[in-house]
Amino acid sequence: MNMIAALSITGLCAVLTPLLEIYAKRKAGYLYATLFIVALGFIWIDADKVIDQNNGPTFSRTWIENLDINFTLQLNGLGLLFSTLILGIGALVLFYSSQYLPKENNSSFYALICVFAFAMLGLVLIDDIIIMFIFWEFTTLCSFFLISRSGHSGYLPSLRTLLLTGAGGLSLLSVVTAIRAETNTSSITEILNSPIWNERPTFTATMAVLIIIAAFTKSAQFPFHAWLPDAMAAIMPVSAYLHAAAMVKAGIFLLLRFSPIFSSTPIWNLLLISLGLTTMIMGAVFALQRDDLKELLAYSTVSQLGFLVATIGIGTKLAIAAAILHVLAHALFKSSLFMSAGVLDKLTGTRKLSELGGIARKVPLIGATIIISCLSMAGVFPLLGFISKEYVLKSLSDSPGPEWTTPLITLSMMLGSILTFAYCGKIVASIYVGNRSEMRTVNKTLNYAPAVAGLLGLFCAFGIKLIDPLLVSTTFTSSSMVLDKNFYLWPGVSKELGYTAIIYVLGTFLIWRRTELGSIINRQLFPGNGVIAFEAIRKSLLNLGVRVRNITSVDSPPRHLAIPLLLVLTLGFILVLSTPKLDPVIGSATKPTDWFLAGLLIIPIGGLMVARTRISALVLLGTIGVLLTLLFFTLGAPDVGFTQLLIELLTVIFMMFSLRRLPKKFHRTNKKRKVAAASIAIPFGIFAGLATYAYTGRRELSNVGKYYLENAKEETGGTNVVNTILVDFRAADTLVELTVFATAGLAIMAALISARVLGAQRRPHVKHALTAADIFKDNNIPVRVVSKIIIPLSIVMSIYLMLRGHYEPGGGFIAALVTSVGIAILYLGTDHRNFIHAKWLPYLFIGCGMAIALISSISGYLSGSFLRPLHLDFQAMGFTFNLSTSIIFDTGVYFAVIGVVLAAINRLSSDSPHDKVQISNHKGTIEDLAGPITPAEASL
Amino acid sequence: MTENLSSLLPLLVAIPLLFASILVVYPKAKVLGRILIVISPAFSIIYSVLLLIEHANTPVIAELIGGWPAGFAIAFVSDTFTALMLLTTSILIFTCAFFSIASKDSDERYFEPLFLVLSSGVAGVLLTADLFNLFVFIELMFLPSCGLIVMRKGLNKLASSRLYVTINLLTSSILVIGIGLIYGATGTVNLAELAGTAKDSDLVAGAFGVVLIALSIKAAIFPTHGWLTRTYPSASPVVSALFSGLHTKVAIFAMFRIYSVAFLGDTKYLFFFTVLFVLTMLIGALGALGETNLRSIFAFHMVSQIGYILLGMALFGYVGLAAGIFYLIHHLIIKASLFLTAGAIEETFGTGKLSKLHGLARSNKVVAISFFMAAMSISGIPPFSGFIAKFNLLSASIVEDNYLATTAIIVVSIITLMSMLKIWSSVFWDSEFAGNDIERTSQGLTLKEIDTSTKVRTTLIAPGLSLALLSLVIGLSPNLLINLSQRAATSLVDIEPYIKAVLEL
Amino acid sequence: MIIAVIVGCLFAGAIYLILQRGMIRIAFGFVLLTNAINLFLLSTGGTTNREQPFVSKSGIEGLADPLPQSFVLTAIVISFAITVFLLTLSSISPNDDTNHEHSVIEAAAIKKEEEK
Repeated sequence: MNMIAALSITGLCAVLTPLLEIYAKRKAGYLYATLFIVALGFIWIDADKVIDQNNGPTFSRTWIENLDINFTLQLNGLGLLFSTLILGIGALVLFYSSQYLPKENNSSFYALICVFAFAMLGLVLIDDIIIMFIFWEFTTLCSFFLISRSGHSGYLPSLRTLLLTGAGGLSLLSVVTAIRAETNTSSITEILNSPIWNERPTFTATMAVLIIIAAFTKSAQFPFHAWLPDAMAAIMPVSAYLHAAAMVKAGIFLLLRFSPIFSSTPIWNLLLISLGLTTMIMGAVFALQRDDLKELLAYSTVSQLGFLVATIGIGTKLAIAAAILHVLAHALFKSSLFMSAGVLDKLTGTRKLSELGGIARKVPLIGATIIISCLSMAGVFPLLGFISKEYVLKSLSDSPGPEWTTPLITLSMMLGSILTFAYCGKIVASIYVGNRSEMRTVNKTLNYAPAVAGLLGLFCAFGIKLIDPLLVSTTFTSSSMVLDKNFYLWPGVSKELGYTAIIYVLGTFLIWRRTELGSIINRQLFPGNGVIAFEAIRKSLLNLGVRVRNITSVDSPPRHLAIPLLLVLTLGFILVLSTPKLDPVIGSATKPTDWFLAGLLIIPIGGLMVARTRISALVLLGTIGVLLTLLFFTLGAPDVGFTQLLIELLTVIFMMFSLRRLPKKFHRTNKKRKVAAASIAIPFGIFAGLATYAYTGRRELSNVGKYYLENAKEETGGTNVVNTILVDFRAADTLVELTVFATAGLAIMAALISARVLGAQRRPHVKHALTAADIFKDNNIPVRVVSKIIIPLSIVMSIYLMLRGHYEPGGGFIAALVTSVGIAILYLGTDHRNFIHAKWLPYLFIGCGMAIALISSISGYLSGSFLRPLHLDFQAMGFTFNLSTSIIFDTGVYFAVIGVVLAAINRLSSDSPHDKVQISNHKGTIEDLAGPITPAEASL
Repeated sequence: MTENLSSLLPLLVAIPLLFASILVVYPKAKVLGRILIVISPAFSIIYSVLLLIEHANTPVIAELIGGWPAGFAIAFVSDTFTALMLLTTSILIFTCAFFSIASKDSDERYFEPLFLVLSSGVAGVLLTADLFNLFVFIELMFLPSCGLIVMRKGLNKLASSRLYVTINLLTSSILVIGIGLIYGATGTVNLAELAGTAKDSDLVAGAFGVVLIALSIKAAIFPTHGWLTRTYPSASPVVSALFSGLHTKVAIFAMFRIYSVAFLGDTKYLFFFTVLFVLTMLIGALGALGETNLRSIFAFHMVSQIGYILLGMALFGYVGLAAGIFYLIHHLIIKASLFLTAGAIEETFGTGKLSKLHGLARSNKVVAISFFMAAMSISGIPPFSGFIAKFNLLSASIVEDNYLATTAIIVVSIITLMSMLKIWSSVFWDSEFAGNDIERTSQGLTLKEIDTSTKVRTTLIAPGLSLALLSLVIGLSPNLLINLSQRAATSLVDIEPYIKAVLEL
Repeated sequence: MIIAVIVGCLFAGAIYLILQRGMIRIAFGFVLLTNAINLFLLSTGGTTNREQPFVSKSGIEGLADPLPQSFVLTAIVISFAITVFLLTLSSISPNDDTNHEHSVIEAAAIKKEEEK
């Protein structure tokens, strides 16, 4: 429960920020600091349980029961230590901030810091691996915002940080998912005790590597170290807290948390030790190079973290214990140093060591603090850093791996320490030596936080006895072994002490001859740095992206249409290759008439391919349509035949209308395109033929077809089975089809309006040039004559067709089409520039048509269900009329179709805009999409 | 209860149509129009919630339209999967309705009727259990889309409209060919009667293959994705949001359904699918990285995300499908949110070009928050729904030992994050933003000149924001949705109830 | 199976036109494609029995399968609707060319860019 209290307090702080910004401005920091201390108190209430019996309190609630993910908090040694760091250092930094920050709008800073503290606290207390990952990601996001918050200089660094740590996060995600999938639990405690780790070494190794990647990105280890110095764009408190004490330690925490599993896995030891040491030395060298105090500290952090990682890699309980102690030490002296650097910055407006000469003598308190902290970092007696380093060196004696490695490790660790000693000395020397006079004054309270942090390093050293039990239990958590030997301030004379002596001597030597040293190392050691490498990767990805995008950045339909066709062809090939067995063809599927019609059809199809003028093509198309109509009749589909014929007529007429606007000839197409088209078209034709051959005529009449033929009469009263299917059995299809048709009318309208609204002026040249349909202008006198009688005739005929639809070929659609053809012909006759009916009429028809059809369908509920027709037969003039709702339904169809045809005709047939152009009240049109672009345009 | 619910299923299709017909007759009745486009999805939301509650007891309910005997009538079926999709799509349509009113799209002539017809088409596709009827309903979605995509455009946009119409016409043709092949081979188009046929016979499998090709064009799976990334961004913002949520997702729904019923999740194609979908994920993400305006980037993302969703199908099995369905729902919500946020920006500043926008984080905090939440969600960062979705999929891939999928999920999501940050940095940060302006000028390209200090209207940002918040809520308490998607997955793994319901066995 | 041959020819022709330059030719292609599909759909019911499917005293022997016919009737109308829309699109602009894209110009620009 106390852990919840602590968590909620930090959460509460985050919530309070906007409020306190108003009342307390930056001074709010004091309050947050106090609250943090309170939270720390809550954590420590249970400390004794943890330390004495190693069973801290737990708190558990179910979060996602289907995935068995529980929000389980558990306080253990490691958790206790880290939460102390997080809240303690946090309190110091917040205290510091309330003097350091600008006077106004810091709410976002405080909010983010508190959220961050909350997330870190959750990370170290949680026992559920999935939720641990969530907290992990939170810390990443917080650091992203805290860095980017500091203005333009922070933008790119924050991006790099987020991407790099984000990538690490993904690596962690794959780990937690895999572990959970393999162990069927997400409780870390259970995972640590799972037998799987011994049973499946490869799995263990893989997980080890992935965890290392995650930890290294977070803790800025080689080769992922680049982001940390980069992130120094953030303001000083952020660097002190996130990038020295807390966030970068999350990686270390992760390693310590899972060390019990992996400490005996060779790859784990190998990677951690080798890369850790590399980072330690590299970082130290870079630190030594830097003149900017903040950068120096950043690199020294990298180096120190490397030192920690290497130590953890050794994996013995002593090593772990030493590492943990050093975590504490580093958190103290590094945060203290960063905050001190901040003070110096405030005082002088610079962070350049070369310009800070002698400043420390003017501000003794800060000067002393820096000295203490630097000594601790350099591992000088009697400070905490000294103890931890001593015991790390001790632990080297029984490092894993072959014999010869031990001296190697020892040597490189000493080299790292020497360099560390050197740059610590550099700091102290350069702020004391020299005599800088001019400086601003700062509020005294600004000095307290760093001083406290520095001094704690001293006290802890003397109070090591008190810390010892905590270390024991912590070590137990992260090595599941009981630490049997205690830590002393004075470890007694041993060979390690000798090592330390050597470190001091050589270190001092380096400081003494630092000018010469400078000339050696103050040059570019590597061709590029991490940031450059990172940017290079980002760029190349970007360019790849542009390539991918440019492939498809054209609007020409054929380019896009070809792909699906090719897919179908591929499927066809595969199917043919698999040679599925076919049932025999039933009966004789070919009739003599087919040969005849086939022969006739080939000619216009061939002609259409080579047609140059649009009109000739249109005529050929019409011919094909008519021939097909005949074919349909011979196939015993009169309704289809009629419909086809009428539709063909209308299509031709409409096409003529649209051709009137277009040039006479088609565009020339180059040979390449012709060949390409043919090479897709011909195989496709072949496959279509094969498919028809393979898939049709090889089974008896389908049950459903049989059923319709047998029961049409009883069920619906109709004898034209096709029609009964349309209006009764599958009326749903027809209803939708009708709506589709109606919608087409609306769509056409929309298209014309938008073309007009946004200024589709007719190009003058088309007006004068001979358009494709002009030929029809002169010979339309006969049409005029016909049109006088055609309308009444067609209407009468269509009514008859509709009524008989249920019995003979006919029905709503055919009826409507007949009328439409009449209207169309009438239009052909009249002058295209004026209307023969009110322009709202078609839409009235469409709407009413849809409404009628729908209402009749819904009225089906009266007789049981949607679209269920009601029947009523009666005799009149020799016919048995079957007055059923399906007739009403058909009427709906009729009107809708008429409406659409009317609309389409007078839209297409007329040149001048009929509607008042409605000026759109939008912010202009939608922009053009760029075609292919250059990488530069995409680099943002 | 069951009785009424099932017999009223057709109303989900009929009511929007009826409203549409009214609005066609009175094109000038603007207020009425606005009311209707909001009521109709609201009705479907309520109805689908009822359905979801119902399905807890009766997994599948079916309605034989016209009351003809089973097998000879067209059947409307609803199970958890259907109801879940109905609910989400309706929510999406509902939100878009509000946006369209705010953005004045609804003032365009015939926008409302077309909008309603489209929504009814969606319901139809989700409900029908008859392949030819499916085709007809897909057409019912397609034609209004033709009308919607040409709206608010001049001839400069004609090219993309033409592309949209032709490609979809071809797709419908392929679809109907496939259905014809199926009827030719089996003598039925009733999905329930076709159960397992594709697994038994290669011939039928081939026929269904053609249908799946058609659907995958609709869903813009690699290599057919090009048309989508070209056409969607050229429509008006609300329309592209609508399309992104409806067309592709409905196609995916159909693929899930068909593959589970007709192929019974046949395992011999799964590896091929994995490769295809992984490629889709990769290509989409990379394309997004290369794009230069908001909605084009989102369009490419969509392609990539569709890869993710369908990966669930490639990991066929209870876990995989559940993960896929969860991802589908999450994606529907968040992608619409992104498109609407982008829409809000475009409607306000008249451009979606990254090179022109800048500094919105300062001038329009709400927009920034809304976008950032959506962006994080789609990149799978906790605590948003995207994280749970990705996590489920990742677990599924590991459970099925499909490590290709695992790697792809990880790698692609970092690329996704990159492209999202690209937007964030150039649209929401100030224009002095390091580096690139210098680069741009050196390339002789324009600097960010437009004034972005104007405030985005609340009515414009509210829809996108609310969807982003929905994603957050799902992310924080995903139990319900996980539960539902698992139930939906069950109904795909065990199709007995489905068949029984449709054929009234 | 001469029907198969006809279907094949129609498809080949249709696809060829669809892949041509210029909206109208593409539109023609789709009209042809519709015809091809309709014929194919009709043949899926089998082309052996060709009696018109009307209910009569003499049983259902030799009657053609009515279902494909209704499919075709539905399909025909839908594709007609789309064709009309397609025609509108091809004729609202006086130029129905599909090759006049800004992308073409910019593609050239890219080439120059790369040569540098």
